[in-house]
Amino acid sequence: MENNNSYQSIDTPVENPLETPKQPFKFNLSDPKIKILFILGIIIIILIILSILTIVFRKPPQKIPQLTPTPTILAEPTVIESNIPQDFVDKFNQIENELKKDETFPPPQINTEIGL
Amino acid sequence: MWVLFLIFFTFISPVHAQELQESTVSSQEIPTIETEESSPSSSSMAAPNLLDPQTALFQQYRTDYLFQFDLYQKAYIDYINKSQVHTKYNTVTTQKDKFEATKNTLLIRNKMFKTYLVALRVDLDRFKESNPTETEKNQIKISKWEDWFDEQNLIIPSFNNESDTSKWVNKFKTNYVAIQKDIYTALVQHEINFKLKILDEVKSLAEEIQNSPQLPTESQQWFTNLPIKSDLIMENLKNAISYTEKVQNLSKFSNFYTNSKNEINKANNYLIDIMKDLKSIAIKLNQ
Repeated sequence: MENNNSYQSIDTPVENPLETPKQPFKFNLSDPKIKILFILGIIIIILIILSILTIVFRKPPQKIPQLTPTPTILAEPTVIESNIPQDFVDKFNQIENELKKDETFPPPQINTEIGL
Repeated sequence: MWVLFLIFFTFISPVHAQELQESTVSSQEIPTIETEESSPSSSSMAAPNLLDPQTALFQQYRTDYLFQFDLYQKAYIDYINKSQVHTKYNTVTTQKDKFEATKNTLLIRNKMFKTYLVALRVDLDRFKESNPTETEKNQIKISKWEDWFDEQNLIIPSFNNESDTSKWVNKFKTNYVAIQKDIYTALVQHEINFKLKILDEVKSLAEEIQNSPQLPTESQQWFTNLPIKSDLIMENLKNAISYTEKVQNLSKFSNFYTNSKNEINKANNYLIDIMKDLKSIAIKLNQ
């Protein structure tokens, strides 16, 4: 007797007509998508390595010292002391020294509230 | 591969990279400008200062004043301490200590002022010949205050209580306005006298240069303008003394010294300008 079994079991996934069979993932380099992903990955790694090398080996920027501006030269006639006649040199020196002197003799500053 | 990415991004983050950069920059030495220090030999090269008798006398009195000033500072600190102790404990003993410290400070202060005034009076002698009348007036006023301070030091030891001290201090405060006026007037007069002395020396030197046979004719013009410059100096000095004549408030001293000093400095600048011109002319004598 022929076993005419039209019954399909849904419990077994192979026999279940609604179940799409899962194919196992295969890393296939020949797949163009994988190729592109792989190449991009390598490019990113190379860029990262390059950036690390740049940071490590880069010379620190030289700090520019703050320079004070050069004072402008006053237009003053230069007097060469040695050209002054000898008779007047001492007198010039004496007067110039006196002009530099400060004859201030300030009084003491006191607290006038002492005793109040 | 993605694990590798994560490792790189975790350890080499931009923040870490910035920290790395900052540490390298901070470790750099900041350039400094080396300043040339004056060598001790340069000061020792100065010519020995030979003082004239009047200046030497002034230096002696000045030293005496500085000694008294030092004593006053010590007495004043003692007074402040005793005063603070009395404020804190308020006992009969602390009150007595404070009273004695007050008397002592006032006595030493008067003595210090006396020595200052003597030194100032002696100092006025140095350039007195520039303006003898006015200088003499100042010296008389100062001498009067010297006597006044001496008299006060006979009165202070007889104080019996704080009421006596308070009365005396209030009287002193009124007199102190006049004392300061006379002191600062004398100081202004002294500086004016000194500038007048220099002006005389400048005029004398200018006359010598003018009378020199080698003087070029084009330089003669400058000498005709010298009296104008001299008048400007005199005007500044007159302005300086005019500030001293300002009437003072009875209770508070209005200090005129800064204004007078500014006028004296202006006069000094004119003198410096004259000296520069004279030097330029003197050089031509050799050419």
